[in-house]
Amino acid sequence: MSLLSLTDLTVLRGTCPVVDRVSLTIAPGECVGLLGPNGAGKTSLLRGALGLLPHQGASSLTALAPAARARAAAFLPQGREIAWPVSVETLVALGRSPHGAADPGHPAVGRALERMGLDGFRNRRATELSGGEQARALIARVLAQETPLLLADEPVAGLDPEAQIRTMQVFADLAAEGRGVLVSLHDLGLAARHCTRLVLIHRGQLVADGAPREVLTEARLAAVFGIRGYHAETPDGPVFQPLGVVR
Amino acid sequence: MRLLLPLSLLVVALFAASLLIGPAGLGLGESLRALFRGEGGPVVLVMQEIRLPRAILGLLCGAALGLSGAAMQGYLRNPLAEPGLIGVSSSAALGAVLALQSGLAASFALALPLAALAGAAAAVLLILLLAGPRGGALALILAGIALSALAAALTSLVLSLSPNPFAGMEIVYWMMGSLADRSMTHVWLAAPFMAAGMAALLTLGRGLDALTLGEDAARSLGVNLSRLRLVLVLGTAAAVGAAVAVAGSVGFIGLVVPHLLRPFAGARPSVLLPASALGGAAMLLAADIATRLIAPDADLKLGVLTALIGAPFFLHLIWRLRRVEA
Repeated sequence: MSLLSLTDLTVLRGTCPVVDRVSLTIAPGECVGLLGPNGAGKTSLLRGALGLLPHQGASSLTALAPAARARAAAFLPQGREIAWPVSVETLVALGRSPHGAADPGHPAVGRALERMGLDGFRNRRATELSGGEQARALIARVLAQETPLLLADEPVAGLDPEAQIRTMQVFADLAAEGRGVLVSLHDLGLAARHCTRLVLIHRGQLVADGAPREVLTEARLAAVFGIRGYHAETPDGPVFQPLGVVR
Repeated sequence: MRLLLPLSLLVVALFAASLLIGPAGLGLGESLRALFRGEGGPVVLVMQEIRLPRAILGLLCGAALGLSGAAMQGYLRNPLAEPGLIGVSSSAALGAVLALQSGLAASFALALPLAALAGAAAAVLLILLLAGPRGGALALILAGIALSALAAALTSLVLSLSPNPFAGMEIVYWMMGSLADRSMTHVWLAAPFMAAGMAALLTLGRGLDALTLGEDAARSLGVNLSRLRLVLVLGTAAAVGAAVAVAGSVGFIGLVVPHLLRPFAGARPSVLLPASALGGAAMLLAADIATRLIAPDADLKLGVLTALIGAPFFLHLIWRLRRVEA
């Protein structure tokens, strides 16, 4: 039973397809990295899959009623918005609202705060935190939703190295616990290191889908990103480092 | 709860004060007995026909303005938003002014509030037409600003075409807002709209809380934003339209009250909604009592008083915002 299945998903901006007949499934236990250059259609793919953008084709999530969808998939948008100076625990507890009340005392809120290293921040005002801390609090909100599937749009952008690794490790752990994660990323190194599978899109089209080593080939890196890079297998796992521009 | 209880007590105290303070100078026991006594007599008349409707309308109009202000700020995620932003207040005022100008208001007592309600209803239809059923917050603001400007211009036009200076004065005075000389008929006319509007707005708490995270996140949490916006516009129009219909234009309550109470509500929109309803009621009752205490003979206008308190507060707000952003 897959957690997400997209069939020929197409998102149009005017007449131009920004997501062009993408088919994709995500199964429990997978942490899938969604890669592609700026403007490739990563955000549109995620929003289309959730029904936040008008689209053609099918998504298993949009077939659900909004309330059921909110219990099936959690979404971390790219724009990190915290409109009011609420406390961190109140913010994180918003993730509980699809399950009933947004109760800061719910154990899921505590678990989420702990996973993101925000235990000491419970009663701080979310708007007074640093940018990176706010980003972590917003990730904690998505974790508190405790859905089988998690969609995150560039969650690690702007985080310090420790928080980047921690966050990716949390996603990998969730996958290991049997949940599914689809995370869009620009850091190919983190993607190669922590994702079980990578999906590469270019100009709206899916160009590769598979294990990290199979997706990040020299030819594809040159054709899609215009870069070359260095690969190695180390005792810590696969390592990828972009080296230079080829165009 | 820790916030709502003291606010409720404050509202009850001010409601009682509003009943007991007035130019007739009645004794405490005398007026309370008169309130609940059946038969006539001047004291019973003053209590039941003058002070009671005035206090009820102060309570309801204040609650309507405070609550719609909190809902509007929550939806637009902007502390400077106020219920008049979607053009309902100015359109209701235009309706009332037309009734005064055409002489309709003089022909039967309820013509004025009914015309104001019609103005508010027309504004809602226009705003939904202009902003579209699925449009975002920006379309709503822009449509509201355009509508407010149009209604204000038409009001000025009516004023300048006024046949005699007395009609013009009457219009100007009405627009300043007042609760003087309102009857129980006004209460029965406006209360159903305000109650229905407020009941609708009070259901928005969960959606407004989720909107703290932005529109995409709120929708992914299962909030139907199109429905939320529709309920917001209809609820605000009913509550504020009816408030303007019976009290005239009373500004700043919808802006100031949610802002004052936000820190005490932990900035949560769902807590702020009922708190602002109570806070708005308290502020309007207090302002109405003040008009009676400061200048009992001069018929000081309610809207003037709330703006006199509200405008400096607004400046203070801008001052603080400037310091924070610097």
